[in-house]
Amino acid sequence: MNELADRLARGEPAAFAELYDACADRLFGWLAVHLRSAADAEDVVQETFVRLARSRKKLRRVENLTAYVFSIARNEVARLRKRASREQSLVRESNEADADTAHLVEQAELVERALGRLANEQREIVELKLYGDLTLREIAEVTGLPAGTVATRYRAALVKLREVLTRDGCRE
Amino acid sequence: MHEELPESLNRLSPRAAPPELRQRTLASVNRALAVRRKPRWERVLELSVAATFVLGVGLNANLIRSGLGLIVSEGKPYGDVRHDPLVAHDDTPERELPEYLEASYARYLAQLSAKPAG
Repeated sequence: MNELADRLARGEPAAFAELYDACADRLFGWLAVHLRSAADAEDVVQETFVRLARSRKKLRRVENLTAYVFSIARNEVARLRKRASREQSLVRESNEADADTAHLVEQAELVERALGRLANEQREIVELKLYGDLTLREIAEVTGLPAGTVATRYRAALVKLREVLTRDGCRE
Repeated sequence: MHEELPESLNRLSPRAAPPELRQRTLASVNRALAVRRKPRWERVLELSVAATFVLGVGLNANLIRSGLGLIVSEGKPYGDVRHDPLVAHDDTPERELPEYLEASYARYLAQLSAKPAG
């Protein structure tokens, strides 16, 4: 990974393609669920990589590239939401979804509802774990929380999810 | 027990990024990589030159404005004589000046003639 970081810092296009292949699917999966919009998720993925390219010199010091990419994407989400709250149009509210993801959201409606019962900080951790496929250590890096706190919140969130899904008959 | 939950949730989640997103993203990345960022010293130098230019223009404008004022005030020989302090304090009546000079010359000549010669 350090060798890749060096190549990224030197601005090699092939290195960026490699990084994209390594984490774009997970990043997009997490963003689509987190933003509830495939179009916004695509924008954030694209903007995240452009930002990485612009500040490529910093990448040499990064230890975990996946966690770093997710951190940048998380900042982009915050920026998008800030802009959307000004323009009141970009990000859909919790019960809305665009046409691209409508069927997925329908399919995941029960899960969505279950996730909706979680506190925001628990929900973010569960989404990063399930859809971003990050380790708890990586989530700690992305969110800036201690690893122990992340693990505790994740466990508490799972207990709650299990309760909700069992009650609603969603568990297989 | 907990381990089963993520798997069941995972199956319901959308995963893969659309294939066209890769091409689009990497094209944007290549464009960002192609842009040469100026080194810090170059940007500092540019800012300094710009600041010096603006300061120069400002100072020149100020100088020209005050210089013009000076030329205008110097250029009027007396301006309005009523405001000229020398004229205002000169209470010698203009019409009496020839007689005054005449008397003065007469006194001067009388003194000269009264002096013994040699």
